[in-house]
Order: sequence, then C-alpha cells, then structure tokens
Amino acid sequence: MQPKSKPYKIFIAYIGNDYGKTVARSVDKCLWKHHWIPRIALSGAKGEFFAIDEHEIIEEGARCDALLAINSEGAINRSQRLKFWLEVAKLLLDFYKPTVALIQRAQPTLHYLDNPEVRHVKFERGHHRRICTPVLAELEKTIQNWARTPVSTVPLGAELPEREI
Amino acid sequence: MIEIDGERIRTFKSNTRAEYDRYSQVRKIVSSGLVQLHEPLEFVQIGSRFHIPIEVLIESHNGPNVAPNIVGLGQSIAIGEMNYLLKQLQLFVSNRDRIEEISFDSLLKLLTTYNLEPRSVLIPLDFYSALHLGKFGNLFVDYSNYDPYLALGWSRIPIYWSNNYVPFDEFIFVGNELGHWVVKPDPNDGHALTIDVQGIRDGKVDVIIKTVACFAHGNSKSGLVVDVHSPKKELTSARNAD
Repeated sequence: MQPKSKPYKIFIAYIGNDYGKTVARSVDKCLWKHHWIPRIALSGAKGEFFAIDEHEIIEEGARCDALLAINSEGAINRSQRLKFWLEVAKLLLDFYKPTVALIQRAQPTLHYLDNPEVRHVKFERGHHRRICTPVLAELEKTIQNWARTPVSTVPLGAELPEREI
Repeated sequence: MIEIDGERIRTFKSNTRAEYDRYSQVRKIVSSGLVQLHEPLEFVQIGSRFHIPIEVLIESHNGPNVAPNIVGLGQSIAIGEMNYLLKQLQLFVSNRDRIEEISFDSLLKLLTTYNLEPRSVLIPLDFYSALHLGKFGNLFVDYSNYDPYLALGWSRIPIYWSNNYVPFDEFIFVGNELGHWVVKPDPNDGHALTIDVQGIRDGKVDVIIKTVACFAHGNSKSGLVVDVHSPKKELTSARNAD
C-alpha cells in the first residue's frame, strides 16, 4: 500500500460556536483554494456536506484521508465540545485517521489531541488566516508519513521489505 | 564509529510498542494465547526493515533535539496484522450466505441456522450511519464504555468497522472456536512486537520491527461471512435513477 496522492480529502472537525465556525470557514477556504477537498458539516462552506446526525458526519470523516481538528475556544463547554470530542475520538482511534490539530493558544486542548501521533499548528485568537500554509504543510506531512502506511506480510525466513523513513 | 545510544533505543522500543498496543485489535476479534495445536502452524512476519534517521536513536550534542520516536510505526504493524487476519478470515470461514435486505430477523435467522454465537463482527463502513440511526429496526449499534456493539436481541456483539486501510464489503461473524491468534513473542521480554536494531547503514539506522504471528485455524464453521447489499449502493442507484 502506498501513501495517498493528491488531491487529499480532509475532514474538518470544529467546535460549533461563532469563533469555531469562523476558523473552520477560513480553513475550509484555504484547502479549497489549494485544490484540496475539504469536507465539513457547515452550511455555506466550500466542502459542505449534508448530514442528518452525528453518525453520518463520522462516516463521512472515516472516508477522508485525514482529520483536521480545530481546537478553538469553547472546548471546555460541555455541549459545544461533545460533538467535537466524538468526531475526534472516533476518527482518531477507531478509524486510524491521520490527524492535525489546530490549537488556539491559551485554550484547553482536548486530551486526544495531546498525543505524539497528532501534529499541532498553534494560532492566536484572530490570527487564524495566517495559518493556511503551515496547516497544508502539516497535513501533507501527516498523510505522507510513510511510517504509518500498513506493513505487509511475508513468510517466516523471507526478507522483510525495506522502508525509508 | 558511531555508538547507538542504549537508553534512546529502550525509549524508542517502549514508544513504538505503546503505539502498537493502542491500535492492535486482532486479539479482541479472535481469541489469543496458548492453544493445543493439532497441526504445525504457518507463522508469518508482519513488519518491515525500517531505515530510521540516525538522530532518532543517537543523541546529538550539535544537531537538533529529536525525540526517540517515529509516529506511525506501531500503527503500521497493527494495521498490517489486521489485514492479514482479515484475509485469513475471508479464506477460512466455510459458512457463507447472502441476504438481500439486512434486518434483525434476517441476521438472527442466519445465526440460528449456522448455530453461531459470535464473539465479534466485522462490518463494512457503508452500514455505519444506517445502523446507528436505527434504519434496520431492532438491529442497531449500542455502546458500552465507548465501544460499539451490534445489538441483536439480548446479545451484544463487539463491532470492528472497515476503514480506508482495512477495506471489506461483507459482514464477518467470528465465533469462539474459529481460530486463535498465536504470536512468537520477543524472546527477551515476551512482547508481541520484536524490535531489533541491526546497525548503521548509509547514514541511517537499520531496524527490523515485526510481529511473528499466525492465525491458528480452529473450526471453520465457527464463523459466517454474509454478503449484504450496501445501503450506499441503493442510495447511489436511486440518485442515478433521478
């Protein structure tokens, strides 16, 4: 199995308050502008898809090449964070989704995003438009992480395939 | 001569194994451990010879401060062994059937016909939202401790979904007697993942990371592969007809 080639399909998970949506729209536009395929349950976004409930959203996310999780303010609010938490937990752990977290500085980070398998891009409140380039770079690095690509099976005694990291 | 740092290797092994342990699912799907074997086992190697940047395993006082970890290595083995197990199940299970429309009754009837009490079920992703949204009546997904279960009357069968790395199109029910996951552990510490540093070659560290495992066949009738019409295909056909 080879790493995925472009264009990448990116699922955007966000916290459903005003600022979370603002950052999500900005990132959605950034991906679209660079000919990537954003997928986001947010009306009016370039990568908008329609879902009637959370499970359809997760299923759509499971079909994408990577997860972009926007950990903006409001993550500590239980109702706002529940949907975000579910999407991140399911896609990261049940579907092995390569993940990049967009972390707003001085805000609590969802613990699932605070692990070595998740790459971080940090931003200050109001400065989310500046992170388009680093987001693309981190997403590409994560998707192309050759280490993550599943290994193959060979009989006992045979030479194992070699892989450059 | 460059010396590989023993402490960094220990940390690298521990990080890689921790990641593997987090993602490895095969022992949840089929039973595992020591078994009475009736035939010689055909073990396979699931892994790779990785060429790892030298700074990951050797402390550098001049260069960048790099953590002794490569994200994804543990996961790549866990998914590799899942793919191997999937192929084994697809080849070995002798009970095969087909249902046109999935429902509580149709699945229960099949499991009764084949006298099967599954310990786990593999389900294609196409059924993810339909099963969660109760589109098949009494057949739905229930959760316990955040883990999904197929609710079938009083039974709760642990679900493992297909995904981009482990694709399949059938429902695969796994019974307790179908087979066992057997591993030849690392002789030094008993872990399922063996990590051997071979040396330095062409400016990189040559590391073999693998699990030596086998799906030991049990009773091929203790499983069931069911071809089911995908709800997504119906949706696509309906859209095309419009």
